[in-house]
Amino acid sequence: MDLNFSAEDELFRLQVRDYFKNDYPKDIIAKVSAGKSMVKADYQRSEQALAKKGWLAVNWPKEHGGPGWSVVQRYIFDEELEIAGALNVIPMGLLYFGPVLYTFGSEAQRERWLPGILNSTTFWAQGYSEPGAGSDLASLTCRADRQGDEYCINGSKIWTSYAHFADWIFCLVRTDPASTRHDGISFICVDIRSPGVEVIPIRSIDGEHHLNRVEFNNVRVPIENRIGDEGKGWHYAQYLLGHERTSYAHVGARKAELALIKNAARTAGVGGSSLLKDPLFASKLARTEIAVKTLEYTTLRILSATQVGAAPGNESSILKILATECAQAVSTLMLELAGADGLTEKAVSLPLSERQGLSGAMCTEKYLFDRAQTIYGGTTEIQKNVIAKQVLGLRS
Amino acid sequence: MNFDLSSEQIMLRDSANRYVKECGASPKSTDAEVSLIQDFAKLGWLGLSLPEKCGGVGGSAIDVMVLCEELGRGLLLEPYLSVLLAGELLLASEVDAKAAQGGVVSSLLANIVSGNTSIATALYEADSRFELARQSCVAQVCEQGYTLNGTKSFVLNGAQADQLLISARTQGQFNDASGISLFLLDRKTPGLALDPYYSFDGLPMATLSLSNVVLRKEACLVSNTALPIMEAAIEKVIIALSAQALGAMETLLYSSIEYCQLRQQFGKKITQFQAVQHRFVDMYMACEEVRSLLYAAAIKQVESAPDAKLITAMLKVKVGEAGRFLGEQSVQLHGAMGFTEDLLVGRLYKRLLAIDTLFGNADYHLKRVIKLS
Repeated sequence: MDLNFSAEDELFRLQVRDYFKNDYPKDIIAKVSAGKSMVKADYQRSEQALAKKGWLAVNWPKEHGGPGWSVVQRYIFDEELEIAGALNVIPMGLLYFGPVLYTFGSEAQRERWLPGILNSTTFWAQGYSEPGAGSDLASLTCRADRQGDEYCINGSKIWTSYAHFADWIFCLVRTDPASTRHDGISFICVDIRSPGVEVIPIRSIDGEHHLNRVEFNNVRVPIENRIGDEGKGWHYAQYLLGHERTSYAHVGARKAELALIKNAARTAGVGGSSLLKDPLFASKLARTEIAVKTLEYTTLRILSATQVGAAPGNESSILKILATECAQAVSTLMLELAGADGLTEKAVSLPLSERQGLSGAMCTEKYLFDRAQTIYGGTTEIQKNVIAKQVLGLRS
Repeated sequence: MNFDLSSEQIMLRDSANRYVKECGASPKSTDAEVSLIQDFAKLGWLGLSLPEKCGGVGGSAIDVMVLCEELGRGLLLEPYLSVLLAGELLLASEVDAKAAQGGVVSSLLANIVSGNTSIATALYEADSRFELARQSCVAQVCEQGYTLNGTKSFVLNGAQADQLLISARTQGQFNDASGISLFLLDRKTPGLALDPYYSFDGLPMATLSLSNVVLRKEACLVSNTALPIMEAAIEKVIIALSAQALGAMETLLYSSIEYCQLRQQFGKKITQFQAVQHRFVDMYMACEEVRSLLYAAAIKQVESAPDAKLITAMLKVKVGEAGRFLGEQSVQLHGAMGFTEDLLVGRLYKRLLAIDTLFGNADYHLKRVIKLS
């Protein structure tokens, strides 16, 4: 047992750190740090800067245009990106759709869609959840009826993050109207500007626009936009879920946030005194630090198991819950750090410490946004059902 | 970066696992203790972390962790913790050339490793709570050497040990960091009275009263600078104790699942109810969280990392809280059966409660986390 990264990996870390310090767009780091709302152009510029370096599709193998990194290198890269305060990539195309496309897509489909994801000229949205199908995704009813060489799609998708930035949306739709549950679902890509597609914004409790409802009214899609076989869409969507567990971890982001919290807390007490001396705050901070360390070492255990090519052990099943609850613990601490400053509106909210950093409004916004963490990507309750069944062998 | 056990560690784990299964959970009796000591000596476990020159194996904190997890899994109320603590203190005292005492310490260590001599360590006092610096037991210089007066409390295996290691104040005020010394004395020393009892989890403990106990100068193994030595030894013991806790926690988890698989209500196994399943998942997660911090703390100790103390304190917080959580959940899941004395569940639960309290409970170590981070 040892906790040290190899000399090569440490060298790699220095290269990544150096890149974010010197070559990554500084104004984007400043904008993230000031808590401003990010627009599509910010994401595109950030992703294109990474693409230029060959560091955008970090989880892709070399043959499809990725850097071909090991799991440890990917972890180090993510950690450094977040500690530097750079912008996380929008995951829909890069992390979710890309691997499905290069694993199950045809040659023609790969040639058509991979390059746009690799150079961040095409943005994707994920059309999974529906108004009546959230945790129980297999009950989805959005349908695609085959009419000659086309599908005609009717139905609704909801909670679609960044659909307002997207050029395309990959959807799970029911192609066999007689089917129920997992069979009869297909994986179809839709040009979001097709006639009959309507993207309706949903504002979330943090005041921001991340989410949308996407309506499909007789949207005609050529059958060559279907990935893989008709009726096998559920299988394609599930296939890669287990392989990207550590992308939930965001250990670097949690470390960076804790550093910001501690820095701001030094002068956030009564009359500019240190909140770190307040025993109740100090105790919550210490507990949160324990949660972040626990997350870090659990993630490293998973990496240790997967770096030799072994399937991740049972500990990986807990990561989604652990990581999202840890994120919530950190942003709850932010809310408490902010105190009355948390009441202010974003436009007038001032940094909590002299250095540029967290403002009260950012703390409130982060806290509210993080409520989504234990809901998206499979709620905590669903994760627990899965662990009970798959790890502990309990039947319902 | 890897969290894999070496092939030797896997062998150690497997042989400990086999031994523990054969023993079954040990009954509350000192006879059993004595026979366990002999077994442990034969298996080479008493000297697991001690150097080869005194008959030990020269193993690391990770080896100790591997052994203790298995001991905890079977709820062996064994003498190993006492040996580990005393061994660490004696080793540290030996570094001090004056304390080597013409080979007294190394021959004592050899006798401990071979199981010929049993030893207990008395560091805490009735009102010291978890603060090691609070030493009101006093050792005054006298003609023959030292005269000791005071009371030491919560001494594990205190009444069973042939030899005792005792901390006492030789200088300064009752809570000064300096001026604390370590003494070695025979249990038959005049003026030493032992008041034995069992802790609520069934471990033999004792209160030691020292009334004008006269010791020769050589009995002082560490003079005035014992506090950091005691703290460092306890850091190591916390890894061992936490590994025991993890073993006990996993036994609780899986034995509770086994019980609930058999228990039927409303025409169903109660493990089919989601409320029950989610409780088990929370318990499973608590075990994995402890394992992550335990591995990290053990590795940090071996590597003498600058944050070894911090991670060890974090571990003790997590172990205290997670251990109690596992115990409480297991009793709840067993229903009224869990409340009865004859079930293993209750004994594991009490062991975990005791582990939280030993060497500083979760709150105490949370304060250390605040100080260290």
